[in-house]
Amino acid sequence: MKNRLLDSDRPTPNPRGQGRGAGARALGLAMAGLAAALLLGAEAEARNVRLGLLTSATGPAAATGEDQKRAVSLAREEINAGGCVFVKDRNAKVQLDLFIGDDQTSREGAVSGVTKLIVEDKVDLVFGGLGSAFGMAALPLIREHVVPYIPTPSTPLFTRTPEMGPDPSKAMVFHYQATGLMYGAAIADFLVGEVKSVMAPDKTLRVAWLYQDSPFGAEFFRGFSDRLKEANHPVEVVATERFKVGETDYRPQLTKIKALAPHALVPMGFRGETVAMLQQAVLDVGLDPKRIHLGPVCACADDPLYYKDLGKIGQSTTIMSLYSTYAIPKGPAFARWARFRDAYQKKFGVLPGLLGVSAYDAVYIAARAVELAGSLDRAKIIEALGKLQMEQLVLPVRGGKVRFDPKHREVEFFLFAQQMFWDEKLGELRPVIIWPAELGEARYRHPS
Amino acid sequence: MILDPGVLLQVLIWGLVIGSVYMLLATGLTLIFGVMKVINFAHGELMMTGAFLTFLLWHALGLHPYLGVFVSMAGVGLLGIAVERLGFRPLRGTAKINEIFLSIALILILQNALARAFIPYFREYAQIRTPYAHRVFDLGLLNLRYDFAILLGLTWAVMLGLYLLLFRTEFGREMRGTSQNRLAAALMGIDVGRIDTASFGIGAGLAALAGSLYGIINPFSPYSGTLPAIKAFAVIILGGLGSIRGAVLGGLLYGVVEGFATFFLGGAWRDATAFILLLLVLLVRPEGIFRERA
Amino acid sequence: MLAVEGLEVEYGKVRALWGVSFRVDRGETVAIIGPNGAGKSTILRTIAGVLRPAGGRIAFRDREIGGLAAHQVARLGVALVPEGREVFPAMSVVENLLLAGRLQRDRARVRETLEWVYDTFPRLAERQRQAAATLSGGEQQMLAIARALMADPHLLMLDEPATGLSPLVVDRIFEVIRALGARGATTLLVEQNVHLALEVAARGYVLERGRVILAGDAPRLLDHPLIREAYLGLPAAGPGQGGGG
Repeated sequence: MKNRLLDSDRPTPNPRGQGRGAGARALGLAMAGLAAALLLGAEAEARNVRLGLLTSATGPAAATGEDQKRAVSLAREEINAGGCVFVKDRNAKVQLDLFIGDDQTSREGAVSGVTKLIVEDKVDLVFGGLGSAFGMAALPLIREHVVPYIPTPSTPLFTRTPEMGPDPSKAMVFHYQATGLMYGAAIADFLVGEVKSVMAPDKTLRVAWLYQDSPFGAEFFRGFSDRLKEANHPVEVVATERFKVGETDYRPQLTKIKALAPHALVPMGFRGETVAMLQQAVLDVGLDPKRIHLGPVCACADDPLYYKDLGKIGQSTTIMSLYSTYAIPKGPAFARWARFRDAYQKKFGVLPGLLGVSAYDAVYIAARAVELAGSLDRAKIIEALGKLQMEQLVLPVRGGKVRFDPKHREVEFFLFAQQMFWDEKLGELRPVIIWPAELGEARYRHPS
Repeated sequence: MILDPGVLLQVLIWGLVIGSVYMLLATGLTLIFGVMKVINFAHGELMMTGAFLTFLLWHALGLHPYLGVFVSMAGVGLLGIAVERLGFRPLRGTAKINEIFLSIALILILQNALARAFIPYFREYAQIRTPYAHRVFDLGLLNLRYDFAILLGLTWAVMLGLYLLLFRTEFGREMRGTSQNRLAAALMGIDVGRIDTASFGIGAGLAALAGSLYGIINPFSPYSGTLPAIKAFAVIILGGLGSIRGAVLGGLLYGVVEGFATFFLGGAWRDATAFILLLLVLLVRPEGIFRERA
Repeated sequence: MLAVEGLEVEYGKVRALWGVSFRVDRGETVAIIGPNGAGKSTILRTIAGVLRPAGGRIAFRDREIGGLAAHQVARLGVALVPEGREVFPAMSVVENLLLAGRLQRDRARVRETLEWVYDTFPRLAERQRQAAATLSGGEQQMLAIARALMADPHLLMLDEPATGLSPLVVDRIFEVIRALGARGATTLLVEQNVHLALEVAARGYVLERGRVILAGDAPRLLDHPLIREAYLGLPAAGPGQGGGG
């Protein structure tokens, strides 16, 4: 059957006429080609550094996502104002552009957010995040496109999963966050170093744990118990009670712990959980802070609401931190921390949190990596990150130098312990750094 | 050392406390079911509306929480009345599934309304603090915070009031009659429509009380009512649908078993216990412990 | 007292009553008889307000009550003893009775009525405090009737009171109905047992498939050939009849 449209025997009526059309089309194509060439060329000349922040812009964690967005916008301003980023390839100082990928506080959101960053925004590097599960969900796409990735959630799995590719040196994930394992180990060292001498000078220190029944909580406890074995600490773990994420009633577990009479209780959970645990421990179950040390609690609790909600019963409790809402470790290396905090507070009217700070630092690390790489080529940036060494930014690192260790591409952070004291004037608790000695301004004080 | 009588007594008390909350929830649910033959899936959300209302009165107006509790009960009771008249009443006589959908819609509406109103100010959790938050009764074997004693006292006072209402007033007799035989009640001149409205209002008020008391001893969010409500369902199935006696005993039993399970087996078992218990009862005695409706 | 005209009732799309008309005068006992499914219960339920009529009028004491809710009809003084008794199972006998007593305008009379009920039904007096669910079928029926009477109604309606009961109990119940009639009560009785019904009633209506096919004084109906053949199993011509009707 003949198809009139496809049948080329008879010319189809064309009001514009074929002859004139052909010339117009040829001209159009030529112009398009020229424009494309110009644009591409222009791109190659004036393209900025494109960084992609993958964080929770919406969803239950949006408040923390806001913190990260604010901190990175501050970093970007500072870098662009202070000389931009020198890219050797182009022999030019190039500005920093930031793109936001929203993980919507979910795994599916993380996948779509990172897709947008990599495919649409064509970023040179992805960083940030606050939920380990969501950051991990983005990994397959990161690996597929071989994009440098500096995640800031805490799970060690980012860089410790076996399937990181055959050539470890080409692995593209560089973890910039203290892991639960690090915290747990520091808690062990602190309890033995500072608390034992007061609570149990010549006996084994009896410690109870009440922690979140989740991979997050399990990491902390594992870090603690591994460190006990490794350092042969004189500690006996008398209880390992757990609670489900979002629990509000800790009384049965606390009652059991009280009956076992430990010297210290480590209550590990999110901020809201920690506040409830401590209040129920002291007020409802009647744990006496003079007879049992409460803490150190998880660094994730350290934000202004914690100090407000906890109230007087938080007096003398401790917290193991990487960043403090109110205190700053002593020493010249921390001048930068003070400047950052003041700038953030001045610009946004609120105080920054740990995850905001982590993202802020990550921007600077990314900028330095680009400079080291001398190019915007992703593979070169990855290589540069592996070799990078720079001065401590805001978060404290051992030896004062930020570097990603060759084996796990993690940073050796310098954790510190703070103790809470009631400030009558402010009507709130305020922290004092008490450990280790290099960073602290006081020693542990046992309530009398 | 953990089997010390003082310690076990303490755990028993925690169980009775949360059990009282379950008891209030279950009683309201079973009352609504008994009279209207409707399962109110949004009971947990009414609970949280009550909690937030008490919280708001305390936080914004400084109203003493134990007074706010009664205002909240009245407020949510009125809300319940409105829900019955505008929502369930027009659906009476149509397919049962319509009522289920209405209930579920209420869950979403209430949860999101509460979230919209409160989360920007209080982040994830709120908690009501009474002036007695730090005051404690020294009972020798153990210490009991004032608030816990008040919770137990208030719950039992309200339950006593409910008993008097149901068994010593004419209105209560009408209510019981309606729940036992709706046709007979109508033939005796009882306006069953009004009884429906009243029972939903009372049920909602009890939920609000449960929520307010819960919010005094625990941090809570708009979503905190879901799990207690599900446990309340389990309680009324265990206790017998429509049986208030079953709701009372079942609620307390649940609280105590939950507390001891958490104490002996660990935190992961807290919620599982509720459902394992339900499963066991359904296997052994599906009609519930108290078969007849009282 | 009661005048029903052209009553039409539907169950969904199925028509149950087709223009039924009848009346009950003050002090009368009237029976409606007919086979199963004829629509007898439907009539009582519609008058009582449990069902809504699709058409027709129901006038009670010169007042239109078609379409009123059941509780409103009850408050106007119509008491229905429904098929299946429908007591409050978990309440005691006395509680069942007192609940019905609420309808009486004069509270003082409630005590009197209760005394009368206990006199008439001594078994109920014995089982005063027992839960209604523990009573036998016959006792529950007595309770249901007693309950209706506690309201001191203008019109008493009974839906198949003899169903499922032993002959002794049935006798007792119909004795009571007769005694009530003698005292001047207005009663509308629906019953499958034609003999019992027409013995105690003054007039009767025969209902078949939603229509009144026969009406008249009770004795005349008893002798009617249709009734004799269809319902009483007797030859069409009775002792007082010739070949025709």
